[in-house]
Amino acid sequence: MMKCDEATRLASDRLDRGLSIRESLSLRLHLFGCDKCNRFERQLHTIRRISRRYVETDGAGRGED
Amino acid sequence: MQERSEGIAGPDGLATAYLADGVYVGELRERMLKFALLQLSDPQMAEDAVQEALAGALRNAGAFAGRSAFRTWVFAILRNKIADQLRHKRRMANVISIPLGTTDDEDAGYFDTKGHWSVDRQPSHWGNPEVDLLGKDFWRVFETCLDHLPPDQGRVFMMREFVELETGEICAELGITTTNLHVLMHRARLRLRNCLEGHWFASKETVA
Repeated sequence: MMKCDEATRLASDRLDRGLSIRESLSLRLHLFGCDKCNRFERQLHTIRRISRRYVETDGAGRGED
Repeated sequence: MQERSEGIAGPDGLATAYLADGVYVGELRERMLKFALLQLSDPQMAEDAVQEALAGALRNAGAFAGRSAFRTWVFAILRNKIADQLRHKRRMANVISIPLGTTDDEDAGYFDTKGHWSVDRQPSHWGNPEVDLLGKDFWRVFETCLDHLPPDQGRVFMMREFVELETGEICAELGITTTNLHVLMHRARLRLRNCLEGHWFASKETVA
């Protein structure tokens, strides 16, 4: 069974490269049984959305007013 | 995505009007410069990128058809300029050297020896943050957390997530392997996540 450090590495890699079928399956299996890594994985997507938003508003945090 | 472009009379006139407002442009320029400096590290190159982006925005004012917010549009131009600058710099064989493979205690502390989350670093619940609604205080925390990334991690993270370069381009630019890149991104994300959680999502205390 894959460990959390490895699972977080694959969750991060998945945002930058395609995973092999094997990697993808082991990650999915780990996330299925691990709440912490599940959160981590979702939070990485949130961080990506935050980064996009930061560039769009360049951190002014006030939209286009 | 909802467009915030109501009340625009003529697309052409709008961009030109924005760019004619000296106070607005001054403030915009300052923010663009800050953004460019994060990516380029060379003040002169950053200055040039901002100058060219603003000139490009003015020249192509007609292309701004109200399809996206003005600021977003100008920053998209700036991002392209920065990517150009980085590619140009590479051709000049003047590659930025960043220390690689440096693992400090901070990087090592996220997992125990068995590969499980350390108790004090494990992800807490963030709720469902509405990214569109994050305000000034949050962005201040975000910038502070970015500033606290080691330079190599910060550089790679910003090239990937802000400038949206492909991994191949980043590796070629920095002269690092794909494996290096993935390691740096993983570390950067672990740190940034931890910092955001500690200073925002799990606590409402602000960073000093």
